[in-house]
Amino acid sequence: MSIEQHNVKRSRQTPEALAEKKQREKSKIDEFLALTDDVLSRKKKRDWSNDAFELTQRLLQINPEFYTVWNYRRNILLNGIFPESTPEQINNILSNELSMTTTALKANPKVYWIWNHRRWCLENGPDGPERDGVPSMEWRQANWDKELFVAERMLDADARNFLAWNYRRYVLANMPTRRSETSELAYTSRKIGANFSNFSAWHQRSKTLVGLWESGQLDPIQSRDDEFELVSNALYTDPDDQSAWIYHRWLIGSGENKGQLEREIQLIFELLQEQPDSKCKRLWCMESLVHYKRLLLQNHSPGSQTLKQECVELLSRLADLDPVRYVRYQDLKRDLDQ
Amino acid sequence: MDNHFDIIVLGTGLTESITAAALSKAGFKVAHIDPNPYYGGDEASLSLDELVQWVDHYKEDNHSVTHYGEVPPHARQYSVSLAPSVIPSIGPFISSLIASGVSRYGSFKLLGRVVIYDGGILKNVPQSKDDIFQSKAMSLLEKRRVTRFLMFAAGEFENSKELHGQENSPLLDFLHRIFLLSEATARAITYALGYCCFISETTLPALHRIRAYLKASGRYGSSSFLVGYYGGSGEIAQGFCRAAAVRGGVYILGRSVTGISSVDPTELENPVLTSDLPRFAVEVDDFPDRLHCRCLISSTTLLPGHLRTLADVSRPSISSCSSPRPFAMARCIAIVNGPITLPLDTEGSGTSEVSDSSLLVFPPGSLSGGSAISAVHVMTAGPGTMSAPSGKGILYISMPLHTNSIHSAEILLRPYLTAVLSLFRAEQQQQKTLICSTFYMQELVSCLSSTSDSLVGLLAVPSFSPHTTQGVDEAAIVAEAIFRKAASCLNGERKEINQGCEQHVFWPLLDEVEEGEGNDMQW
Repeated sequence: MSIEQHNVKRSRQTPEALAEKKQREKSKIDEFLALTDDVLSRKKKRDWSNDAFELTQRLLQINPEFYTVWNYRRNILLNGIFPESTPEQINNILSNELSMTTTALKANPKVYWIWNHRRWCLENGPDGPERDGVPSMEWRQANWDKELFVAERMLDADARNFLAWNYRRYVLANMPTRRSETSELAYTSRKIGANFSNFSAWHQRSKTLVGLWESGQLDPIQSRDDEFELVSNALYTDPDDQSAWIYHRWLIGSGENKGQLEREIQLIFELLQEQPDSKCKRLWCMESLVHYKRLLLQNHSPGSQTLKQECVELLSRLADLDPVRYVRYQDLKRDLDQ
Repeated sequence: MDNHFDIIVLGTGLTESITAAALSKAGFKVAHIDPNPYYGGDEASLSLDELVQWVDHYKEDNHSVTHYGEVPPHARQYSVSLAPSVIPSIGPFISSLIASGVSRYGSFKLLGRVVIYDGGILKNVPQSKDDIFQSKAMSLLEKRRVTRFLMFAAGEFENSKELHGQENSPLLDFLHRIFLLSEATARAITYALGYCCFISETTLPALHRIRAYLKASGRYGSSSFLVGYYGGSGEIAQGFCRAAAVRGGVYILGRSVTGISSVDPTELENPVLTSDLPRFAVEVDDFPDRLHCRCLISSTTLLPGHLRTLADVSRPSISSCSSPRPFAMARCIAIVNGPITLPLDTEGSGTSEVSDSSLLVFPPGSLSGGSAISAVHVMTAGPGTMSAPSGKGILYISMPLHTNSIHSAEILLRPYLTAVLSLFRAEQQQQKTLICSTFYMQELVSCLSSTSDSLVGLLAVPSFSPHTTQGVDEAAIVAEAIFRKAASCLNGERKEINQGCEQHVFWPLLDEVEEGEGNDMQW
C-alpha cells in the first residue's frame, strides 16, 4: 500500500504548466537582478535614505546571505537614520532589526551574516533609558535577555548546532547582568541528559566547570569525581560515542591524581571485557587504556615494567585491529622505550 | 429506500467500521446495521449513563458484570471505553487512519509515562539510550547490556546468532541468558516494551513488536503510542462510519436483525440484473422489507449460530508479532476523584505538558493476590483526552486470561484496583476516592477455522483483539483482508468489467479537501 504524502494527490505537471512555471521563475530572477542593481548603485552613491533602507530589506528577505547588503544596511542606520533619531527611537529600530532577523534565522539557522547583524544590533544599542539622569542599561538588558532566549530556542531545535553554542557563550559573556556559572552548568546537564552524544554540550560543560573551580564555587576534587561518574554512564551506555571519550580524556588531564587514574583504568578495562563489542568500542577502550597507563607510568611509577608491558601488548592488539594506523602504534611503542 | 445493497455489514465495532468505510470509498453500496443505539459495538465509547444501561443489558445476556457506586453528576462529560487501547505511531492502523481521512475527524495525543510495578513501587521503563543514560536504577554494566539489547532489537535480528535456536524460548529467559540482563530489567523489557500478556510468551514475536515500537517512537514525540480523545476506539469506529456515510453508506442503529437467510434467486419479488443477484436477505426489526445484499459481513457475535460455521473467517494476526490470543479479558472501569497524572520524575524535559494518559504495567507475580501468569495493564484517562470532566479521572484495568476462569472479573481485579489507588495516593499525597466501578468479563468469540464449504459471500469478523498495543493494528489488517475478499467476491461476478481493471486499493487517494469540516489533528 503506497502512501504519497498522506495520500494527497499530487498534480501532474503538463508541459504547458512547466513552461508557465519557468516563465514565473524567470520574472522572479529578473526582479531580483533589478533590485540588486538598484541597491548596489545606491550604495555606491552613498544613499542613506529611508527608501534605500526599505530596498535593502526586500533584497535581504530574498537572499539573506548577501553580506554586502547587510553592511550597507548598517551604514544607512549609522549615517542616515540614527543621527535623526532619539535614543528611544534607536532602541525601537534595533529591536525591530532583532525581530526581523529572528524570523530569517528560523529559515536559515546557520547563516553567519544574520548572526553578525544581531551582534551589531546588541552591541550598538543605546544605554538608556535614563533614570534620574543615569543610564540604566535596561534596554540593553532586555535585548540581551531576549537574545539568550533566541539562542536557547535554537539549541532546543538542534542541540548540536555549534554556531548556536558559540553564540550562547558570546551572549552570556556580554550581558550587562551576568547569569551564574552554576545555572549554566545546570543547562549543560539538561542538554547532555536529553542526548549525551553532543560534543558542544560537553565542551560547554568543561568551560563552565573551569570557571567554577577557579572561582571556588565548586570543589575541584569532588566535582571531578562527580564528572567521572556522569561520563562513565555515557561510556557504558554507548561506548561508540566519541564525545564522551573526549570529555573523559579532558577530565584525566595530565594524570596527577593517581587514585583517579587507577580507578578509571579499571573501569575502562571492565568495559573492554564486556563482550561482544564493536570495533569502535574496542579501539577507544584500548587507546584510552594505553594513554592513561602511560600517564601512570610517567607520573607515578616510572620504572614499572608491568605497566610498560601492558602498554606494548595493547599497542600490538591495536595494530591488528586498526592496521591503517599501524605506524602510529609503532611510534607509541618506541616512545615507551625512552 | 432502495433495499438492494452490494454489502451489508452487521456490527459497528472497529474492524467492521474500517471495512465498511473502505468498501464505501471503493464505490460499493453499503448498508451498516448495529442493534445498539451507539457506534463501536464491544469497543464502544460510552458516557456514564450509557455505561449503566450497558451493564444492565450485559447482565441480561448472562455475562458476568458488577457495578458499584453512584453515577456522578455530569455523566455525559465522561467517555469510557469498553476496550481501551493505544495506537502505535507507525503501523497499519495509523496508516489507515491517515489514508482514509478519518484522522481528521478525531483528536489524538501522545501517551504519557509507561511505568512498571516492581517491588511494590512504580519504576520507569527505559525506552531510549538517553533514558538508560539518565536512569539511577541500573548499574553501569546493566546499562551497557540494556543498550546492547535495544540496538539488537532495533536492527535486523532475524538471522542473528543471538536469536538462532531461541525463537520459541520464553523472552524472559532469552533476555536473561543471552543478554545477561537482570530479572528486573528483563521484566521491564518483556512487559513494558514488548507488552507481552503472559509469562511464557516466546521471543521472536515479542522482538518484532519491540522493534516496531522502537521505530515508532519519535514520529510524533518520544512515546511510541497515541491515544484517541473521547474514549479512543469507539470514537474512532464512529469516525470510520462517518467516512462510510459520506460516501453514501446507509446507517441503521438501534435495530436488531431478526433474520438472515440465503436468497433463492427464483423467489425474488422484483427481477434484477443477473450479475447483481443478491445472495442474502436480512430482516431488520420494524422494517417492512428485507434488505438484500450480495455479500454479508458480520461480527461473529451478531451472526446466528447456524451461520457461524458457514462463514469465512479472517484469521486476525500479524503473524510475525502476534501475542497468543487470550480466551477472555477481565476488565474494570473505575471513576476516581482527583487528577490521575503521574508526575514526571526529575527535572522536567523542557516545557512539555504532562499527559494524563499513562500506562501502568503489573507483570505476572508482581502483586500478591494478583495473577502469576498474566500481565495486567492499568490505563489512565482524564480531561486531557476529554474523557472525563476536570478533577476526575478514569482507570482501566485489564487482565488477559488464557483459559476460562472460575473467578469473576471482580475477584481477579480488586487487588489491582486497591494497589493502584494507594499508589496514586502515595505519589500525590492526596486521597484518591473511588466514585464508581464496573467489573466485567469480556469473552472473545473463538474463531472457527474456515472450511472449504463456507457460504460464498458470507464473511465473519473476529472479535476485536484486546491487546493494549496491538489490537488496533490487527483490526486494520483484518479489515483489509475482509475488504479484499469482499471486493473480489463482488467483482468476480461482473463479467462485463474489463480484464485490465485495477485491483481496488484499500484506501483511494484523498482529494485535497474532501469536506469542509473535520477537526485538525491536535497534539
